Amino acid sequence: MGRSRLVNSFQPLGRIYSHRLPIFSVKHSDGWSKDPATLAASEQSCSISADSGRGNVSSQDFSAVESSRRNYLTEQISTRRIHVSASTAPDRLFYNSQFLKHPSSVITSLVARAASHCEQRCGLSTRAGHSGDKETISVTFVDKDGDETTIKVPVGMSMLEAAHENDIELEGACEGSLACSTCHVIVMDEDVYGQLPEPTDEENDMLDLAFGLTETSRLGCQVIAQPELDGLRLALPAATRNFAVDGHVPKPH
Amino acid sequence: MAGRVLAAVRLLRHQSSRRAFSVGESGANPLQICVVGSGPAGFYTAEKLLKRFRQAKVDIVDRLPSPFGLVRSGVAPDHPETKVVINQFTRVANSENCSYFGNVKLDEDITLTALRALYHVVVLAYGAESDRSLGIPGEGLSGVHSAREVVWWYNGHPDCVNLPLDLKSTDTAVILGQGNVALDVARILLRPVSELATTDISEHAIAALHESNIRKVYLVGRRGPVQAACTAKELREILGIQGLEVKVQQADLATTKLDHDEMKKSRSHKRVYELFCKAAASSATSSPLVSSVRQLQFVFYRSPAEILAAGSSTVTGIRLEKTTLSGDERSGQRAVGTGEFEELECGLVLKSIGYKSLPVRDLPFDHRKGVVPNVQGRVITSTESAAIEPGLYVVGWLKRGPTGIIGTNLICADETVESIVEDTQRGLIDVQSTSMMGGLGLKGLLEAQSAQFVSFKEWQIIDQKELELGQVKGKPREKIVVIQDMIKIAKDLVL
Repeated sequence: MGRSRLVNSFQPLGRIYSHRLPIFSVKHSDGWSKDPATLAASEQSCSISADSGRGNVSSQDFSAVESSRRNYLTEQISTRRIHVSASTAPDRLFYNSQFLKHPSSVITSLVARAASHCEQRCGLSTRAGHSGDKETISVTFVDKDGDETTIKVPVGMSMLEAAHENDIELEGACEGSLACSTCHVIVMDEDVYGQLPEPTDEENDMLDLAFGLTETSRLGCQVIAQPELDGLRLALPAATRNFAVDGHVPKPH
Repeated sequence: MAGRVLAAVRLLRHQSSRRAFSVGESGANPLQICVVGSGPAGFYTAEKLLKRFRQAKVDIVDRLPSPFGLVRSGVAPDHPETKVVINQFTRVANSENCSYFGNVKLDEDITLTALRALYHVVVLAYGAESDRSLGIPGEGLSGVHSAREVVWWYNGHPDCVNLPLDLKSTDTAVILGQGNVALDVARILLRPVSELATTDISEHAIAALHESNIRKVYLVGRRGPVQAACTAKELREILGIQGLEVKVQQADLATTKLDHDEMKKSRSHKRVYELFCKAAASSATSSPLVSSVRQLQFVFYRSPAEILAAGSSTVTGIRLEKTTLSGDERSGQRAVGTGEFEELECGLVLKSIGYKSLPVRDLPFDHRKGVVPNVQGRVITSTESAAIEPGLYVVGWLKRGPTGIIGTNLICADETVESIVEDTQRGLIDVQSTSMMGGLGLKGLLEAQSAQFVSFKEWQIIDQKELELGQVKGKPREKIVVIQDMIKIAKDLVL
């Protein structure tokens, strides 16, 4: 499997293209790929592609409408990780997306999420070919006192980011880098829990340490909004007491 | 001196005592809170206090100019993502009702009694800065250190810059303990130095590691792999290091029914055990050791009996007693000596068997447990009397003992803050008294002593300097390791 060692550096890209289309770039230090990802753009469409460094290119094509609002993607690389941040202002990072380990899935997933972020932020339509897809899903957070908050979450955004954007009190000490368990959430519907992609070893390592772990626990930063999760209900773990919310009693692990 | 300080405080209070205010949510007379210690416990507590008491003033005090406690000085240099929480703590420190006082040490610069005369509420969050002792012969030999000191050494903590850590005279180190701190130290000693050179590891550590002759490290535990205190992430990481051969004996993996019960109750221990099994399997199939490869060996069921010096004053080896597990479901399994001994040759022994808190003046202290006696964070005068010390609280390792991760302090802080909220609501905190001087009083006292304290803005100047120094070397930061240098930079004095 072999892990790559990524350069520990921050590379702000700034506004490179005058027509202000999103840019995505990946750079590695150990000979993987010295070339930034290529951006093929036309006036009508924006295509984001990235070189995973082993000669494969994962790409997703999106149709995009030019936006008069400034936006760009900046990328943040730290050892063994990639962050992708989307922003609507050249000097401001809105939020980081999740850490991902495996190169090809990194690229594909990050590109999908970056596109989704652009949709949300800049009004770019990046899913012209998928008219049936919802752009946002409905997610309900239930806190330890049983109070519910329902929010709209754009497809591609993590539950942690969504919580923070809506002032829901979900801790995120490591800001989505799989180095803590403070964004622990409990999926209230067992069937929905089963639909989610399996947690990676890295997520499970962090879940091992989560307070009040249950059989349907996940890290909020690793649960990504997808159309099929519309109506998702997540419980925030009780700090010091057992709880039953809506009759749901989490099974202790 | 303490008498003069208290007299000064009494005079200041008397002068403002004509106006009696009710404390709490009155903007004219805010609740004054002091948190001693700026690690995760201190900062999570401060954050929650600021949320619950919107008008309160929260001052965070630390004995170092730099804040963040073990996040800065404990988390390993090759774990930068674990330090991201500093962003959150920085936002707390920069918030309107929060002030930071760095380089202020209890007993040296101010006593607990004097602080309690300035603040309605004092929360002690100063952690555990000492070590449990082995209590075996040879513990005081040259070449024996605690893991805490080594961690502080490579993380640039001012107290351990000059640790006499000799990595040249021997090729073998024995680490006693198998928790995450033990694994961190082993990993830093064995990881290819080039991988560490781009982290925020301190300069003197990288220099020493370049010259290090350490090629083999033993991690010794008294019990078995099921009881090992490390967690899956750290074990998985160390098993994946390039050029590092990890040895686990197949025989050590035998389990009892009680072991299986323990694994059923804790998925962390179960997954760690499974990783050890995987390691043993690849140990068995790997080709014989090439001399240039570095080696890490997990040794189980061995209790340290004596550190050996063979006539000199430095370590030459360690004598270990074989153990077996004894106990039942209720008591848990403990290591019991079998009377059989063996010796390991080594030139360096590091004990990683747990931290211990230190007492300060006028503070009740449980010397056996190494914590401040408390009930849900409320300090009590002793475990026998259970009389509560009004306005005095603890949080973090000083309250619970030195276990847990950064996030453990979230729940701990919740509990202590809840106690403070209850006590203010019940009038148990002296809200009817005169307004407390808080930070103004603290500043006055420190200035009267010519004690130099560092504000958060001044810390950010030091921080910026560290980032600049690091950038030149391709590191995220180059830590400044001498307190006086930090102060000079902070106050823009000539270095």
